[in-house]
Amino acid sequence: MKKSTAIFITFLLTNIVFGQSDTLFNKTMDEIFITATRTERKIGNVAVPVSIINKKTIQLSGSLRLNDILQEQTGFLITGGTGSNAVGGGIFGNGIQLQGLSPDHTLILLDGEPLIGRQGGVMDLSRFAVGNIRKIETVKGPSSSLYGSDAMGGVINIITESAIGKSFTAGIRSGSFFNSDLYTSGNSKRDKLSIFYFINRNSSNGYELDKTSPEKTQESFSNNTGQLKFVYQLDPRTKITTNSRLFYGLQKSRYAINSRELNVSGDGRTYDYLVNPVITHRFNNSFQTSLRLLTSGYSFTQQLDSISNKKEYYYDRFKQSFYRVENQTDFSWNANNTLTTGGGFTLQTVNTTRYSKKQQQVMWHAFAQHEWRGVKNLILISGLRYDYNTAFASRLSPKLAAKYSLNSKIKLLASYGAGFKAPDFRQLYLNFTNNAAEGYSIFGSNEFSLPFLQQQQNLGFISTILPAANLITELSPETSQGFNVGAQMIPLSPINIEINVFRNDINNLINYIPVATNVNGTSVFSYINVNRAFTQGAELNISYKVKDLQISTGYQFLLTADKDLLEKIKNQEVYGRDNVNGPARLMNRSDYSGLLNRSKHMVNFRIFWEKNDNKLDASLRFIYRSRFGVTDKDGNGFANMKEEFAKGMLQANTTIGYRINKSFRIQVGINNLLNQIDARNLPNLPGTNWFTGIHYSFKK
Amino acid sequence: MNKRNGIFAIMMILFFTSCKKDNIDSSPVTVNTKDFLVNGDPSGGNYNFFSFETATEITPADSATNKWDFAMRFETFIVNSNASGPGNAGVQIVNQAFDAVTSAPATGYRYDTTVSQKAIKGADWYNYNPTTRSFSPIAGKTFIFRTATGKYAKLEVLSADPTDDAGNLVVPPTRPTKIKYKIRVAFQGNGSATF
Repeated sequence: MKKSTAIFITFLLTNIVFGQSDTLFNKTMDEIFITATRTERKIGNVAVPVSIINKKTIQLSGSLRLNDILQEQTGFLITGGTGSNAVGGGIFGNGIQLQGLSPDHTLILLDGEPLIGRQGGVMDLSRFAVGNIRKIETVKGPSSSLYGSDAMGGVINIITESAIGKSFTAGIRSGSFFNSDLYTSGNSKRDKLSIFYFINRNSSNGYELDKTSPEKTQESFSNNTGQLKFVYQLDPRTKITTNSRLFYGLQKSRYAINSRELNVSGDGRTYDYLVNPVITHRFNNSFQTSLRLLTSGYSFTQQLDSISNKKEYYYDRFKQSFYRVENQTDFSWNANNTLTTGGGFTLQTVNTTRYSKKQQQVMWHAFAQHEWRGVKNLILISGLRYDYNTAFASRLSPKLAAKYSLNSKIKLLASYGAGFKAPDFRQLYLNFTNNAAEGYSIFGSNEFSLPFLQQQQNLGFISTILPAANLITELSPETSQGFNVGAQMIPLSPINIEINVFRNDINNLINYIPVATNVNGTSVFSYINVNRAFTQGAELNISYKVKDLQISTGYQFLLTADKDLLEKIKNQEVYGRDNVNGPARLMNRSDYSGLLNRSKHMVNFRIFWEKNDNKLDASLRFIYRSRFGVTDKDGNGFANMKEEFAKGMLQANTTIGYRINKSFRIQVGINNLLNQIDARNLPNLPGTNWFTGIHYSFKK
Repeated sequence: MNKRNGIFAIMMILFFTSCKKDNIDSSPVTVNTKDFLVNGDPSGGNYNFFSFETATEITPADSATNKWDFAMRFETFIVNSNASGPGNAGVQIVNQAFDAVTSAPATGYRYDTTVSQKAIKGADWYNYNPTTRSFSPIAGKTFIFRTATGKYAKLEVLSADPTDDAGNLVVPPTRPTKIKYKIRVAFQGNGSATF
């Protein structure tokens, strides 16, 4: 028993040290306890670069949606509105870019379970309210050895409120663009049963950034979230937790199609739900097991009708289901060794108007991780996970991480990890011909058929089958190898410094290539593992904390490249223009700017202040990103001329909060103080906007 | 060494450019940058015809003559010979900057052999992005034409923008009715293969 206590203390210390730079005003020991008892957290939080955003930071920042708070963290970039290629950003909402990897390469978890519902590989972070979040934990770099697919750039785990205690909160907030946010949450306990609930409605009339366009930049929307969590303590050793979530989002759309006036309108409706029962049994203090069940679903439907005659103009539907059974068992046979093993089964189905039929994938996985503390000041972790599935090649993901405490002030970290991303459904099953627009077709690799193309050729629809058509075969997962080396230092007591240097080598990136030419000249596309890329850089975090003031600054330096393109540049095969209609010239290595939608420099500077008696608080946060490539006008695959870049952007956000009495608190805030606007490249960033809100809380 | 070579190079350049000047006087190579607004409907409708000699668009009424060299619809090229016209035109695309192409090759020209087997395929000269529904001409792809009457011309597509009928830029989801190409063309009028 004493041994296990020692193990737990080690975990706690690890958490404290790792969490420090991002954990503002963190003084609650119970927070860490909860993390330590969650098995996934035990695994992920050792010897790899991590960060924690706690509830206080979210509240003082006045954040409403997940993207609001994540964008202010070092090395977190919210993508949105910028179109780009397969290794770029996305046009499908607010995604996250970590260590320069695109949104489809970051895994997002809710209480340890994977969230589903990606459009074009992007998980729209604005689907997630933050009012029910206790903290957000992030691991940077690959950790597919624990989580399997998608955990290449990192893993973000949203940890919702626990069901411990008795409380009730409610709040209302309104702001620019008729933005309103209503929420209530609470928890209660009776005997062995605890309950937590959260309800939120967030809506806005949208905003306009470009007055020359008849369409609004952001049309009106509403997001409705409900959460219910039960915890049942069966006996002192056995706990049953059931978390459930329900979301409904409505996005209005109005377009001016072939017209200067709005002539098409409609709704985009997003639903998602999940039910996640977890049974945890502790045999003794060194042996515990848990069974996790997950049922979740996501659907997105868009219907657009003509405004004048109500006729259907466009209809698109996407429906996804995800079921998982997973066991995890942790065993510490002495103070120096902890073994974590697990395995599971996943069934996933997807159906859309763009597939020929409902598609289904069956996946199995097993993982093991060993943590060793045999030598003083050293923690060594090794792990391995095997993912098998029916639709594409299987994958083995290893990991090795070490942490060494040089002295009480300096800790060194080094880790290697493998990451992978399974081919997504569209890459496997898309069967889509765009008759409305340019007449191109795209086939997922499993839908692609050479005989079919030949038949189409015989029928006179296809003029040429390109040699690339012979290359289309079973897709392999996209893979990465990530290295992270860093240090955590406390040189002078209230100053905390963290440095991390990273390199990710990505192979087998899936991209579409033309495989045939239609008679009308347009192309037929399919998917292939073709690209190789790397991202590398460094991250620096410095924070200074005195009693009621926290000042922190962060910086990420990032270099990225498409390796094949670099080789072509080296072989003098790549041309480009210096201005839009200028003459073409050979491109040099120095002309190459890296992957699109990557900023070389990202800086943040944040001040949080809270008066000792909690009566008054304030925050001021600056976020800067340097210029980034958004488009490729000269067909060479990267941004090189001025017109292909979006300019750098400095955002400033501020809040002031005042506690009227024990129960009521008001907060006012202004976002984007400097009114930075880029309608074309950053449509997700409205101009200067304000809000004011009042919050009621009751705690027993 | 550099200095001497540099001086030598300058002398050579002066020598050759002065020679070229003589040529230009007798048989000018005309270089033009033109806006070429073409039908943006991928599935059908009229082609827009172009003549290198006049560096202008030719009326569809002359589509059965030698007056045009190539024509475009959406992103499809046809050239005036074989399956597409009465002329003797042919085309090939080389991987070289427009200015670096100083002479037209004697062989290697391709034709539209049938209505569906065209000399130029889209994948040869632009990148299409189905996500953003935009296509960008690849820099460094130079089209070398033998014209309908057997002379030589070269062409570079500088940009391709979706527009409405008047040539005003449109952005998705508004569907373009025209594609506005900015092209740079050079025409050798004396029948020689040098530019």
